[in-house]
Amino acid sequence: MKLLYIYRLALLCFIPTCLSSCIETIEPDLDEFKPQIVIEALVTNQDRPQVVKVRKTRSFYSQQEQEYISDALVVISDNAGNTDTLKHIDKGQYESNFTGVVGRVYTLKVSTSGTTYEASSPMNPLTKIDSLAYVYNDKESFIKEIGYYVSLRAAEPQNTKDYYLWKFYRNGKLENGPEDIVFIDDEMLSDNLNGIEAPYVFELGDTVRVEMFSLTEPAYKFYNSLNNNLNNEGGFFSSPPANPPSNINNGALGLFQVSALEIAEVVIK
Amino acid sequence: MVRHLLFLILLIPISGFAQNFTLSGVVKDSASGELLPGASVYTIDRKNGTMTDFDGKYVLSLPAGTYEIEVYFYGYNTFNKTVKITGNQTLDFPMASATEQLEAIVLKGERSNENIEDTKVSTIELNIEEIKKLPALFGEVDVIKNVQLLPGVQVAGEGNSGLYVRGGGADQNLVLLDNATIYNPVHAVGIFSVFNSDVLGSTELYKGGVPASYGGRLSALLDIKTKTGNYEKFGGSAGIGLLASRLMLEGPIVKNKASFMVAARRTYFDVFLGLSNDESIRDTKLYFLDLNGKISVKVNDKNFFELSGYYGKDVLRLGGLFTNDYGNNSLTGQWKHIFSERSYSQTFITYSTFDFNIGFEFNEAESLNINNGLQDLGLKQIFTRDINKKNTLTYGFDVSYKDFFPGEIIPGGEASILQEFIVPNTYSLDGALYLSNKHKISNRLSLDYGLRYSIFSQIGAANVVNYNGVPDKSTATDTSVYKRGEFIKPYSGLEPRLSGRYSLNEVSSIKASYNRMYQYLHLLSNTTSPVPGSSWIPSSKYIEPERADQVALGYFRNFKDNTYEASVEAYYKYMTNVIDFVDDAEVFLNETPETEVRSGISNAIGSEFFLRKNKGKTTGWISYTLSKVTRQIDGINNGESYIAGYDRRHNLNIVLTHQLSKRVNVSGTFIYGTGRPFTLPSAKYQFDYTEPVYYTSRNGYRIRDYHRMDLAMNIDFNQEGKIKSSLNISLYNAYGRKNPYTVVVEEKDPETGEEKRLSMVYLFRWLPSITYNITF
Repeated sequence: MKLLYIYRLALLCFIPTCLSSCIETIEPDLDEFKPQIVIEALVTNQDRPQVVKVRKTRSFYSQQEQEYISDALVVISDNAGNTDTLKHIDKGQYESNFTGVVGRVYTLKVSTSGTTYEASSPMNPLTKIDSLAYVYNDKESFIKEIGYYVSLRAAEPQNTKDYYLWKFYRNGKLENGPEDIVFIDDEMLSDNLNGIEAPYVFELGDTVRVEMFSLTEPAYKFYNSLNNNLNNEGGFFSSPPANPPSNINNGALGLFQVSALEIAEVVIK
Repeated sequence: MVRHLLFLILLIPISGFAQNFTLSGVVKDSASGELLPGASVYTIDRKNGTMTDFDGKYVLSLPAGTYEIEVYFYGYNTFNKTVKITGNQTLDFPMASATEQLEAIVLKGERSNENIEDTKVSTIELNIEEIKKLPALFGEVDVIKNVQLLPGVQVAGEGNSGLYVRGGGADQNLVLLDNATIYNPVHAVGIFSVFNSDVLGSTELYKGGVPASYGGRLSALLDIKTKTGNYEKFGGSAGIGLLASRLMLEGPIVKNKASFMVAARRTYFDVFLGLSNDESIRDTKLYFLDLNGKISVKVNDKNFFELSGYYGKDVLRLGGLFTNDYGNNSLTGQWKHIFSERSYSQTFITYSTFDFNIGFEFNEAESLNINNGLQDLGLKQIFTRDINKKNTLTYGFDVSYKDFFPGEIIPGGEASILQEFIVPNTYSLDGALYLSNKHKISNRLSLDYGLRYSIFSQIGAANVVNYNGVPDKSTATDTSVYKRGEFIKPYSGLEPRLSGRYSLNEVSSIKASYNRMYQYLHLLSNTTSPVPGSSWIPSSKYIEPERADQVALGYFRNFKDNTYEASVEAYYKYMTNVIDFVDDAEVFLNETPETEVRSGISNAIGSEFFLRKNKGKTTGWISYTLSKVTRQIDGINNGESYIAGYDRRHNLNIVLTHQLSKRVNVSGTFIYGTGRPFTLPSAKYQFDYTEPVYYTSRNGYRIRDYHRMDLAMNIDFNQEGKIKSSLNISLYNAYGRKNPYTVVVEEKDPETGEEKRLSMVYLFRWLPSITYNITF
């Protein structure tokens, strides 16, 4: 049962122990680790390129750029008989121009250096975003600044188990911070998503774009684990630190995400 | 010389007219009137001697003559009196508490060989007077912090008050306050324990050889009894310090018949936060509070009643936005009935609770409260009977009903999008029957053996999910509904307990023990440290009881007429059904905790070395423990064996107290422990706009070693008058060592571009405190 705000606030629990505490960087000797393959793939039902990135891990202390694989064979097929081979564009990023369909099951195959990494995922349906609303907050508090907060208006289907992921854009630029995974599973929700607010403050004149993705259960588990991985503060609420469970076989890290995607935009006037 | 000859003449038996008279009476504390069982009463030539029974009564059988009688009891000045025996006589011995250093006491006689003689292997008794002189964090004497200085008890880590005994986790200890279980005996995120040292009567830690009359946890038993109020006169003690204060009052309700004792302690960290410039910090409350009370009534010679209670609370309030309250409460009623000199019965009714609450207030319209807790109602009946001079039988039963409240989320405000979420209560019923015998087989060999039979079951009302295979959301099949009081899954087991002592000679002995323990309750906490928000859950259909088998063997020896006490002990503990969270477990508020944990085995092995100096101006001890504890659980760390989070390979403690002058005493403690195991990343990678890290094995790394030195000075004033006062000045972490509380991955800084790095969070460096104490 993950709450949108709870991880931010969890850090507050740290405060009593930080009365006279400090943080200091340490550099323990970490194992020399063989680079592992990381596959990041997204298939949506929107009219935009489907992207697969094939890259590698690097050592924790590395100051260098991420290694990428530019000569892999990347194929996506569906259970309606379609197959598509993606083209390498740049730096390990492969693209294709088909559009996904809700209800189909997609399979990804990435072949490189003699190994084929495979994953499968259905595209789960997604409720429509009716509209976006915004309200001005004039009181500064621990979790809110002075400014505009944007919220959703959408129904939440009660007869299916749904998982949601959000990305927010401000004037075309991603607003989610590098540790912010904004997601929820519907167990805690009532019959609507009204009032779910983007956890970011906006200004007058901003164009706010909300992207909402449907997730499958394995993708939800992945994002849940990724969130723990990025926000592990080693205290109260933390689970034992772990690697996000990938739905790709043969030890590849990353995720094959197949999502229905709803996009909505509003300009703050 | 003449006296010596007279003495010899008196010893020559005069046949035909030899007749023994009895000299009897009680040995009691001269200040409180409390009777002292186990005190030694003997003639100076050691030809006649005895020990007081549990009522403080002694009986000596002596022929007519003049004797010098000596009475000895640890913690009191030895009492000497010349007595002329011409007929049966009664004589009581009032003993004065030894407030002065041990040099004043002449330690001779059987009692000082207690560590050799006592069958209780792996047991340590702590002397409160000694402990009060040791350095204290924030000026507060903490019994658990002192227990952590003993061999076999691991240094937990910075800001951690958990007890890790012989490879057992902090959740595997039974902590009792007047026989009521205290479930989370820590304050302020594990920095202090809930035990106010002013109320302590006796404190015993059983690392092994746990008596059959106790059970329910795998590892150690910390048995704390509060002190009984003074029956004769009013008195008390108080302490005022920089960050904490306390007050204890005691006295008679009806002189020599009934007494009371009340105590309170409060810390006030928040007073200093009020000086901050930042408004949100100023508006912060941070304190903890302990209240203790006791009423004791001696109805008649054969019946004694006592009612004692404890109320504790930790409060954290951050600027109206976030609150965190939690606390333990307990209540114990005792009835002690004496059948005869040789047998008595004790009946305890105990009630203990633990509550935890976190509240968030996002704005005026929206708030959230998360609660969890438990209640425990129990009855304990113990019979103790001396069968003959060589056998003491203890038998009885325990029954307990427990109500676990795993938690609820209550959203507040009209605009909330969240629904109320309540994890239903779970209930359990458990009981045990036990029988044990303390058997003095010969002068050299003593055994303590017993058997405990324990039963446990979760009971309804409950809806229990069934699984097809390893419990997981994906293997759930259907739900079974159980009515109120219906037994869901009973478990039971036999727990043999055995300990023995064999005296090699007057100054040395060998002790050995074996015990089997079952633990029916499990603490769901992440591996870093047991925090108060963790829930206790009962053994259920899919979570089996934990079991431990422990063997220990030790050699004990005293040197130089008991000036030095030394021991070497080794142990091995094998545990099954220990649980640990799987990766990314839902740590909080889970309706089906069985899907978040896996069970497996744990092995712990170690050896403990201990050397203590009891006499002289300088006293203290050194303890060193070498140990290892591993776990192997399918589904965690790829099923491979991993080091337990509380494994500390080496642990060294040095405690020294030196009496500088009659009034001034200085002490220091030095603690060293191998660094804590941590799960640390070895690589990183890009995923969309994030950069996660890659972990190889659980607990695969050790963070820096833990060590610190604490110093304290005690200055006594007015020790002669009615009001005694003293000043305690302490310095915690005298050389400012940065000991890690935890390790976090710090993210890439978007502004400076500084890459991801590992950082340790540390708590206290150089923490001085001053406390002014008075006793009246």
